Amino acid sequence: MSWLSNDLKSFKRSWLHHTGMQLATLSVLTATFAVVALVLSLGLNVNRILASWGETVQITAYLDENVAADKVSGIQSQLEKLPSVETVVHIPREVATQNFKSQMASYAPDLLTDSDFENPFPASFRINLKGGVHTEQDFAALEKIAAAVGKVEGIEDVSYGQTWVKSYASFVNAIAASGGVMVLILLAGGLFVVSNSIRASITARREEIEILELIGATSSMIRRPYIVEGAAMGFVAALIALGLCFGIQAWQLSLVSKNLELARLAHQVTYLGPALTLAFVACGTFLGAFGAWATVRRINDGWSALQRQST
Amino acid sequence: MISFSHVYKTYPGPVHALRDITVEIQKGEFLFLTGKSGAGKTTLFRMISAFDKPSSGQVQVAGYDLAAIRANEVPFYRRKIGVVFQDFRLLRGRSVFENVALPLEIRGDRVQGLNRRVDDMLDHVGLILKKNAPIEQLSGGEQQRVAIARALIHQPGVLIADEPTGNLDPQMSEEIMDLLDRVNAQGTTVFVATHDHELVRRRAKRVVNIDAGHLR
Repeated sequence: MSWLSNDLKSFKRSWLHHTGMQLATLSVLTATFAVVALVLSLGLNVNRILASWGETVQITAYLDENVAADKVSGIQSQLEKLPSVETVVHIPREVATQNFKSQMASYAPDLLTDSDFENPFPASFRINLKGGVHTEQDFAALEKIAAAVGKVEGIEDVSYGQTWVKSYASFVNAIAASGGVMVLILLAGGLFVVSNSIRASITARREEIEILELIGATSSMIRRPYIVEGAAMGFVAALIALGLCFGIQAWQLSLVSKNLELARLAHQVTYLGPALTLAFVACGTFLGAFGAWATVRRINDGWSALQRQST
Repeated sequence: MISFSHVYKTYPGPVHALRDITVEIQKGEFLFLTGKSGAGKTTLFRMISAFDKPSSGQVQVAGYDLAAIRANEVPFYRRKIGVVFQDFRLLRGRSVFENVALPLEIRGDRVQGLNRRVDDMLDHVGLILKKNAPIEQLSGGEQQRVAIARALIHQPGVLIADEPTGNLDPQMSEEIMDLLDRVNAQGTTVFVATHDHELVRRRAKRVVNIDAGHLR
């Protein structure tokens, strides 16, 4: 591993000799990676929150008033056998009325004791689905299940907040598509910034490459220290960027938590997980190494010193 | 040791940098190449250091056919020669010792033998007391001596020097030429390009002159 210790020595030397340039490169890399990490974290949390909304989608199947009480459990079994159905809960008329009264109690307190209040609610089944509804494809599947539920004998009507669910599914699709495009643009921009920054840093040390060529260093000997240096730079920048991202997120969460309206939202927000953190650091390291390789490869073509000589 | 046979070099334009160059330099010989700026000296040196290939003709150095050398052979060929430039081409931020040791490190020499050889070489060029000094702290003459030490540390058969005294005052130039004389006396073929005719006149060596790409 003496080559690695030599390369790290070279890394240290270039930091001591080109401190300003190296600091500038590290800053650009860190800022770029921090923006990517923040957008990634934001995207994941938006997806998470939207997904949690989709989990709550339910189908309500209203029973025909003329269904005999002894047929109800049979209908429930039929519904439970339908594909994608997770649970089916029977809600008798009295329970539906009670639920309505408790929900309205704060708005109309007299309703709880009003003896003239007649029960307008039919008995129903509350059907929860496996996996929830997150996309327009899920919505199409939901429509099929709802149609199947409507065909069960004894079911008079089916409701699943059609308009809301459809809008929600379209919204999630739009967010996913625009988020994907945004991440792609950001990654392309990030790659451009990172490679330019590394290129500027290496080009400033072109003479080193020329001298090494002059005294008979092979391409791999010349390129390896720069690639190790690029990887180390990418690694450090990714770590600092993640630290910044976590710091900013923690600060914003502390602000959100102070607002009672948003406190529930704060509980749903999470940081990048260990796997994603590791992948991010690995990508940063790879980008640093790749940027260095692409640049040094162009300069170290075996004839660099030629360009400085005159006829 | 060095042989040019009917060598032509034409750059796009066309610019005829070398025209029908034929010259032989024997092993252990000391040869001056003189000529004005733009006469073709550097083009000739580019070819000897494998930074350029002839448009036509043959260039043989240290057993290598430089007109046909493959890219992956070039670094190994360059380890057989020593090259000195007017602007020294030393690595900034490294000490005298580190600069001189570089060709041996590239060759993969062991540390113990490497240290001894570098010390011997620095002693030879009179820089042993400055072995740990950063390059930036040396005078022009000292930097050129470091460059010569670096060019000789791996014991090449050929030393080529392109205007090695171009950036030095007359006294320092004489010191550098004395050093090259000593190197030559130990059996190394030395090929020096210069436009300093006075310096050449004071040394009784074979001289070839290049003018507009022709050898005279």
